Amino acid sequence: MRDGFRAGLVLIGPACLWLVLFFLIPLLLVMRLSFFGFSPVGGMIPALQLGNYWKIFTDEYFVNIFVRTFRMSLLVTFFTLLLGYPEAYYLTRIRGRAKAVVLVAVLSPLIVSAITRTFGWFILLSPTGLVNGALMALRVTDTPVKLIYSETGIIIGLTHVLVPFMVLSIYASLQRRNAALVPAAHTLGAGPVRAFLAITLPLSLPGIVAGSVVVFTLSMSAFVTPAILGGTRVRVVAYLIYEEFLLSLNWPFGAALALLLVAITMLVVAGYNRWLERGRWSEVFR
Amino acid sequence: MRGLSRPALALFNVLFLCFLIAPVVVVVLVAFTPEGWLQIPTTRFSVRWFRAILDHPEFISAFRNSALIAVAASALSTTLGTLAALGIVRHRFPGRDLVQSFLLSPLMVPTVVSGVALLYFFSRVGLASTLTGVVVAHVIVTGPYVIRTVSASLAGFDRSLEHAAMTLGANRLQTFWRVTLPLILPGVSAGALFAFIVSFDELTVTLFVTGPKLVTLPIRIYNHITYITDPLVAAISASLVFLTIGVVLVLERLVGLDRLLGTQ
Repeated sequence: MRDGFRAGLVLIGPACLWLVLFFLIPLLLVMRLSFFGFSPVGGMIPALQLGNYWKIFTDEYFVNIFVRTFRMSLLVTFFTLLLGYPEAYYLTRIRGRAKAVVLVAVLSPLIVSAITRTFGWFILLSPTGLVNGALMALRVTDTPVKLIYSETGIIIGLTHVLVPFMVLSIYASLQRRNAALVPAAHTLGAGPVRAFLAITLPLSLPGIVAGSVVVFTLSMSAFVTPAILGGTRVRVVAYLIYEEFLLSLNWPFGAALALLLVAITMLVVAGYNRWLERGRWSEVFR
Repeated sequence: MRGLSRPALALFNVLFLCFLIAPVVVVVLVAFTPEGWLQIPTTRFSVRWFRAILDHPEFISAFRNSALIAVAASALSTTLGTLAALGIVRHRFPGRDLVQSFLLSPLMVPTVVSGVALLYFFSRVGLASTLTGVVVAHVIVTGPYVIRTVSASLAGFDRSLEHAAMTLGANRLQTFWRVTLPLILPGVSAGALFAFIVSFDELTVTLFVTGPKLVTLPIRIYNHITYITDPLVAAISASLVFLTIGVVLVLERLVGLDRLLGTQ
């Protein structure tokens, strides 16, 4: 036992050391940095104060970008759920080669380079692109709809890349349920809709929750997709952080934005979990 | 299932998969356009934009940088990650769950935040805009993928083979090299490939830790399309897609995608 303990430490030691040195310490340093001051001429002022956070909360410009990022993340979570649930359900109904092919296709947005797929959306959503062409051919609209450099485009791009997480998460929870329950409900006289609402849906709730937490978290901090499809025209918090660090060079303020982004995301996720664990469906989470 | 009707679900599946592959298909098609702008070719196809890549040495040197960084980062993270996975899966020690979450934590922290933290840290220790710095950062980003993949491959490991080797007189190191490693090699190689792909494609963290002197391919493409969008980027992206398909086929041969995705 003691021997196993020592061997375990030797094995995890290098990775832990690497992570402490190049991840934990940098994160702690950035936490401290977020309380520093800044002057455009002198640079960083290493004295702890709350000015950066005050500036974010009191300036409407920054508040609006946080609100927009939050709103878009909620919408992306909703759309990935809307598309991901039936797909996950479909995956439980197929077997063998067909399932392997569908799984690879579902995972393809994650396998393909982030820039490639975002550039693909850029082409598809541009004023002369296929999507606008189809909309105009179907007489939905007479003039091209603004899809790139708009929230709509970013939401489409993010839904596309994040929906695999939702599908896999719901699929896993649907797999775990007892296969005899739905036929049993039918035997007891429940119709298909009732059986779905009373059995399948509640039992897949842990998967929905896990999936929406991942999707929401990743949308809140997404950078590549909003940077290419929105850029300076539709700023999100991650883009703002990038601008502060690499263009304005106000590192303390950028650090405060970054920490606030993490804090808000964590608070939302914690609140969501708490609300669910206390709610009506609490027993499916045990 | 009597519930949701089967044809409707199958139709949804087809539409959904079209949505998923649409952007990639479009990029690949546009890459073959004979025109000078982003147009899907219908009658005439051309490889002029693939040839044009050769006239842009800045993309080729960026490709070389990315490949070099990805090789170094995946080698390091595969070594560290495999050892860590062995330690976590095989040994019981106090705080094991905590250590596991800590080792996977780079996946939980937004990449922008990791980028910011590494930029600040590197600028203080003199690693900003250096090859070493980028590799160090990529090891942080790719490590969790290796740990997950190798841990999964260790789950069904038959330890009696190791005991047999030890009984026959092999010491710990010999047992590891001759028995353990060959058996988990598919998982380790899959982890290494994952690490390579993630590193090669990494943009966000890299954008922060590198500078104009050391440009990776994703950064070069990103900078290019923020100024101009032409079929050149489509041709480069298409080449990357073909490369990725090649890698996926290698993965399939090496471990089988079924096993990798845990669908068996």
